[in-house]
Amino acid sequence: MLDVNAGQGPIQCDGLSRRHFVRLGALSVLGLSLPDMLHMEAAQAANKAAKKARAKNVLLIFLGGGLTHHDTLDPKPDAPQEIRGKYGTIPTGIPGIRFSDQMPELAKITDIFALCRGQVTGSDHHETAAQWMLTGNYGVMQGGDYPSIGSIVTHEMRALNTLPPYVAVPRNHSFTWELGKAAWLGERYESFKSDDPSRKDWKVPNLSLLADVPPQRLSRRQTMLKAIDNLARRVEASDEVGSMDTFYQRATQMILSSEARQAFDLSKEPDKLRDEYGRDGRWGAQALLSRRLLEAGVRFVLLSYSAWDHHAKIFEACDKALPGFDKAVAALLRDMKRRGMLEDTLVAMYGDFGRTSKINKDAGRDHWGNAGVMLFAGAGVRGGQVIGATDERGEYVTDRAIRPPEVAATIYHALGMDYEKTLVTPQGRPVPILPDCEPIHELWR
Amino acid sequence: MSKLPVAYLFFTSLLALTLSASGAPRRAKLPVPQTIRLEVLPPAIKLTGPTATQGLLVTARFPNGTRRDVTDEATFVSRAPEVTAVSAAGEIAARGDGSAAVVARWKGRQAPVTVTVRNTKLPVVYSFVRDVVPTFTRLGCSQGSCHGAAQGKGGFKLSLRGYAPEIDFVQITRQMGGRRISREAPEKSLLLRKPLLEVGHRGGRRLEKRTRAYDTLLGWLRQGAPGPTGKEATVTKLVVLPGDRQMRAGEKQRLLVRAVYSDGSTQDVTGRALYSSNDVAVAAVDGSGLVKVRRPGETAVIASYRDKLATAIFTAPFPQQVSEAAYKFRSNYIDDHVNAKLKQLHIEPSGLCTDQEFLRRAYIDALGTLPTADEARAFLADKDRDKRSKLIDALLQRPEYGQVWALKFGDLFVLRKEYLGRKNAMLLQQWLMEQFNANRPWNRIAYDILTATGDPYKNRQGLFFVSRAPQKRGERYWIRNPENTAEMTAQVFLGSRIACAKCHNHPTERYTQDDYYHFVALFQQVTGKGKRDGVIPESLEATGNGDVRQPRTAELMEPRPLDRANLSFKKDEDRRIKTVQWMVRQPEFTRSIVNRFWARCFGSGIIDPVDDVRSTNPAKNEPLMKALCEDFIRHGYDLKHLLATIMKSRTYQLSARPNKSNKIDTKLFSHYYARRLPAEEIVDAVAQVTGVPDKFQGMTLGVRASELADTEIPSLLLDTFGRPPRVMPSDSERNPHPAMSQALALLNGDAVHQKVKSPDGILPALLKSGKPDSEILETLFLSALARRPTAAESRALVKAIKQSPSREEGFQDLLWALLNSSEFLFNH
Repeated sequence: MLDVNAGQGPIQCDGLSRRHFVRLGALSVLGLSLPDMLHMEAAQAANKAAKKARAKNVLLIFLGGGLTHHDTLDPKPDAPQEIRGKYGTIPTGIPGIRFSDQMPELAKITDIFALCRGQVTGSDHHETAAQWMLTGNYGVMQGGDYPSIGSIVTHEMRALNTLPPYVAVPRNHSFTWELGKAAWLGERYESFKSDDPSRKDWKVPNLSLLADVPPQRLSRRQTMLKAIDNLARRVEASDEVGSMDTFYQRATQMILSSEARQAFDLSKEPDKLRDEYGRDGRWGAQALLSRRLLEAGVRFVLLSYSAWDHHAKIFEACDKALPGFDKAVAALLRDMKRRGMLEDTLVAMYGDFGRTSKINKDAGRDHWGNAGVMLFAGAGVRGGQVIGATDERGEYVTDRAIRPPEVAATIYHALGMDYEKTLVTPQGRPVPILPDCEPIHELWR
Repeated sequence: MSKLPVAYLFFTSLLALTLSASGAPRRAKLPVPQTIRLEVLPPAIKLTGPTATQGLLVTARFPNGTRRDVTDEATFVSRAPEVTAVSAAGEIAARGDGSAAVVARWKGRQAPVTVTVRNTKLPVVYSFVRDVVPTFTRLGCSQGSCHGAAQGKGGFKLSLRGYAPEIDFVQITRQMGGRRISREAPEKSLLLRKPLLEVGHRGGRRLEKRTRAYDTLLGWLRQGAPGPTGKEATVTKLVVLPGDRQMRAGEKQRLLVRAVYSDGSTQDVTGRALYSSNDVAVAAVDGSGLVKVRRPGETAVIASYRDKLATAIFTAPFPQQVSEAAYKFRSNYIDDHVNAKLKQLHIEPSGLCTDQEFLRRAYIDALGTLPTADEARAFLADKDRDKRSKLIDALLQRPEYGQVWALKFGDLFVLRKEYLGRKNAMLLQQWLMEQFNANRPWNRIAYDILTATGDPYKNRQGLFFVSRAPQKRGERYWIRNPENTAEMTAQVFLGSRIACAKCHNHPTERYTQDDYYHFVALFQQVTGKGKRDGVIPESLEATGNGDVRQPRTAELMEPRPLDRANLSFKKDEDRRIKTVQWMVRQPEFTRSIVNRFWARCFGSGIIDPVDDVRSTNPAKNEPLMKALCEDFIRHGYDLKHLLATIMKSRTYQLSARPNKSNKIDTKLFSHYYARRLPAEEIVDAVAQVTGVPDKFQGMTLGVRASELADTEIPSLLLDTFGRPPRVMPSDSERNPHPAMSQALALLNGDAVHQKVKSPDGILPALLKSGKPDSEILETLFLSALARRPTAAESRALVKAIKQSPSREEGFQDLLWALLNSSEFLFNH
C-alpha cells in the first residue's frame, strides 16, 4: 500500500521529496476509497486550483487504428475522386456542414455534440499516437512513462461507489501491446476489463459469479476460508497483510452485492433499446454496457472501438463497419440525452489519428497524424458546433489545431480536476499531469 | 503503545503516539539537575563582509549524559553591539570590524562565543551565482514542478534548482525582450512583482517584502543585475550542525547549515538550504531547518544547498527498557550488527520462527517456489539439529535458484519481445540463469556482460547490448542507444540513477550533465559487424572513436567514469574493459548486489529503495552493510555464500509475529516482514499446489511463469499481480502491493477455479487414493502452507467437507480456500 503521491502537498523540490512517500498501509482499511483520501489531500493542497466541475463521469470512446475522417465526419465532396472516395455526403443539422452518407444517424443529432476537425496527434505511428492520445503526454510508444487519462482520473478523484472506478469495455486499446495503462501509478489504477458483452458466453471476468459457484457455494467457501487460521491476526502489524484482508472483504461484497452485477447486466435493458443500439457486431452491446456503467456511477469508462486500420480495401471494410458504428454511437448519445445523463457526463470520441487523403494502390488509406476528427458531448459542451477545419484535401488543419495534451486537459477540466498538479513517480521524478496547455474552451462557449 | 498499524498512527494520530511514547511533556515539569553545561555552536565565528550573518545553536548537556536543544528558549546578548548585533533568535549579524563576545543565556547559565568581524566597510555586492540563484531555488521558483520543469512554466524557464546559472541569467535578463527586469525602476521588475503577487502569478505568492530574499533580489537589481562572472567560488562542502543526534520522541532540534567555499570562506546558509526527511513519520523537518522527532525510529535528514547535500541521522529510541538478554542470541555476524542497532533503539527482536515457517520462507526466498507436501514432510520429520542450514545449502544447489535471479536481472535488462525479440530475450535470461547456477562470481558475470564481443548467439551475454528500441543512431543492427546502455549499467550494477543527469545536473547526486555524457562515451563504441542477414549482428565490436557531444554545450566529451577518475584509452581500445575494472572497484558495485540479495530475503533492502545506493541515501544499518560487503569481497564475490550467510543468520529466521516493542518497526529487521508473493511466484504456486501446470503462449506445457523471459507473453493473472512491464531498468516497476483486482482474481477468477476443479489436478487422484479425509487435508495444507492443519482447523474443515453436496465439491472448496488464504498469498 504505497502511494507516493498521497500526503504530499505541493512538491517543493526534486528527488528529495521522494522520501516523503509515506507508507499509507493504514489507508487500506478504507479499501477502494483510498482515492478519497488522495482527493481530500489534493483539494486541500490545491485550493487555488479548485475549478468548477461540470462532469461527474466520463465516457471515452477510443477509435483505435485511426478512423478515416474523410469517409465519416470530415468529408471533402469537392476533392478529386482519389481523395473524396466512394461515399456521397449528406447535410446535417448544422448549416453548411456535411457528413458522409454513411453517417445518417449522427447527422440527425448534431445538436447533441460538438465536432473538432483539427486533431493533430503529431505521430503516424499507432502505438506512439495512441499513447499520446490516451495519456495526453508525449511519451514513449511502450508506455510506462505516463499514466493513461483514466488512471489519472481514478487516482485523483474518489470512486463514486463500490464499483470499479475505471472500466474498459471490452478491454484497454491494444495494438501490438496494451496501450494506455496506469504506468507507474500501479495496478490499483488500471482499468477493470469488462470483456466483450456481445459474446453469447460473456461473463464479466472475476466479477460475474462462476457458473458452478452459486452464492451458496461461495459462502461455503468463505466459511472454509474463515476456518483457516488468519495470517492477519498473527502478524497484526503488517500493513500489507491487513490491506489484502480488507481487499478480500471488499471483493467478496462486490461479487455478492447486486450493485455490481446489475450494472453489468444487459438483460435488464428492453429489447427495443437493444435494437436501437444495434445487435449486429459487437458495438451495440458494448455501447449499451458503457451507458449502464456510467449510469451506475463508474467514474471513467473507456469504450475501445479498435477497427479502423484499413490500409487496403477500405471501402469494403467501411461498408460493413460504418452503419453499425453510426447507429450505435447515435443511439448511445440519444439514450444518454433522454436519461439526462449528458448533464453531468462528458463523452469524448477520438482515435490515434486520421487517415491519408489519397487512396493508395491497395484501395486503402494510411496513417495520418496531421489531421483527424473528434467528437465531444455532454457536461455543458455546446452541441451543434464544429471547431476547426482541414484544408480542401483533408490533409492539414487550417483552423484550430488540437493536440493530445489539450484533449486530456479538456477531460480533466470537465471533471474540475487540477491538471497542473505534479505527481511523483516511484523513482522520485516529479511529473506534471500534463505539459502546459489549455482545454478546448470553445466547447463550452 | 497502540495496537494500530504504523501508518495509521502516522496518518491520523501521530501526535497521540508521540506524546505517549515520549518523556517530553513530563520532563518539562522535572526540576533541572544541578550541573548542566551550556554549549554553543559554532564554537568560533568569523563574519566577513557587511551582510554576513551566522545563526547559533544552544545545547544544554545534562549530568545524565542527555542533551537538549534550547536555542529557542535561550536569550542572547552581544558584549559589543558596535561589532555584532544578535537577534532574539540568536542570529549574529556583522556591524563593524573587530572582535566581540556574544553570550547565550538559559536558566541562569551562560556560554560565550567569540565573533570576529572583518570587511564591514566593503560595499555590499550581490552575486548572481552566490545570492540570486540560490534565492530562486529556496523560493521554489526553479523546482521541477515550476519554472524548473523541462519546458518551464508560463513561458519562463529556469534550470532545475539552479544548476546552470548562465542559462538562468539569459532567461531573466534577456528573454521576453528583457521585460522581466527593470534596471531603471528595480521595484517595478516583473521578477519581483510576480512572486509578490502584485500581478497575476499562477504559482501564487512566493515572496514577501522586508525579507532577506526580497532584499537580495532587489539589491541585485539595483546594482544593475550583474551576470555570472565565471570566477565565483564553488561550494566544496556542506556541513550540518550539530550532526547526528540521538533524541526522544517529542523533542526538537534546530539545524545550522554552513557552506564551505572553494576560496576557503564559509557562509551560514541555514535560511537558504532546502530540507527533507527520509522518514517523516519518525522526524519531520520544516523549511527553517527545525527537526521535530515524532516517534521512535531512525531517519536521515537531508539539507541541500546549490549542488551539495549533507545528511544528519536522527535516532529516537523507544521509551521501554529491554533486557540485555534479548540481544544475546546470534548465529553469525549479521545478528551482531542487527542486534546492536535494535539495542540502540530499545527494540526487542522477535523470537525464532517455527520449522514450518522457516521451510516455506526458505523455499520462497531461495527458489521462488513452495515446498511440495513430500518435501515438507521430510524436513519436518528430520531430527537433525542443523537441518535448517543443511536445507539452505541444498536449496542453493537447485536450478530454481538461478531462475529467481535470471528473472530479476531479466526485469532489469528490460527483456521483452518488443525490444529484442522473444528468442533473444530467452537466450539472455537462460545465460543469466546458467551463470547464477554455476555460482560464477558477481564481478565476473558483470565483466562478461559488459565487455561482450563476438557472435551474440555464441556469447549470449552480448544480447545485453541488443535492442531495437531505443536503437543506436545510424546503426544497421539492433544495438541499444549508448545513453540507455550507460543508464542501465549505472542503475543495475551501481544502483545509481544517472538518467536525471541526461537533461540537467542530478538533483540528489553529485553528477552533472557533463558527467553523464562522459560516462556515455564509455559505451559509445559498441557496434554490430558482419553480413548476417538480419537485425542481430554476426559480431559485436567496440573499437573506433565513439565520440559523444554534450547537447547543451555541444562540447566533445572524453570517455570518463562517473567519479571522474582518469582512465586513458588508446585508439581503438575497447573502453568497456577498463570501465568494468573501474566499476567493480566502486563500493556501490558491491553494496548494490549485497542490497539486492538482502532485499530478496527481507522484502526491503538495508538501503531503500533497493536500487538507490547513492551516498546521500544512508543505509539503515551501515555497519551491517559494511560487514556484508567485506565478507562478500573476501569470498570472491560469491553470491551463494552471500545468500547462505543471510539465510543462516538468526535475523533471517526470526518470526513474522511482532512483539510489543517491535511492531512499529518496519526497517531494522527486528522481525520478519510479511509480504505478498510476487506475480510469477503466485502463478507458479497455484500451478504447483493444484497440480495443474500452465501453458503460456509459445512455451511448452509446464514452463513456469518464473522462467518466462518476455513480459509480452499474455497472462491476466501475472499482470494483475504486478508483473513488471520491463520498460525501464528499475526495481520500482514491479508492483508488490495488494490490490482489489488481485482479490477478485483469486476469489472469483476463472483461471484459479479451473485449476481447482481440473480432472488432471491433484484432487481427483487424492480422492481416489483411499486415504482418509484428514490425511488428504494434511497433504493439501502441507502443499499450500507447508504446515499441518491445527486441530481446530481440521475439525472445522472436515466437518465443512462432510456438509458439502459432494466430497469432491467439498475438497475443491477447501483447495480454493487454501489458495485464497493470506497465509498462502504471503511470504511470512
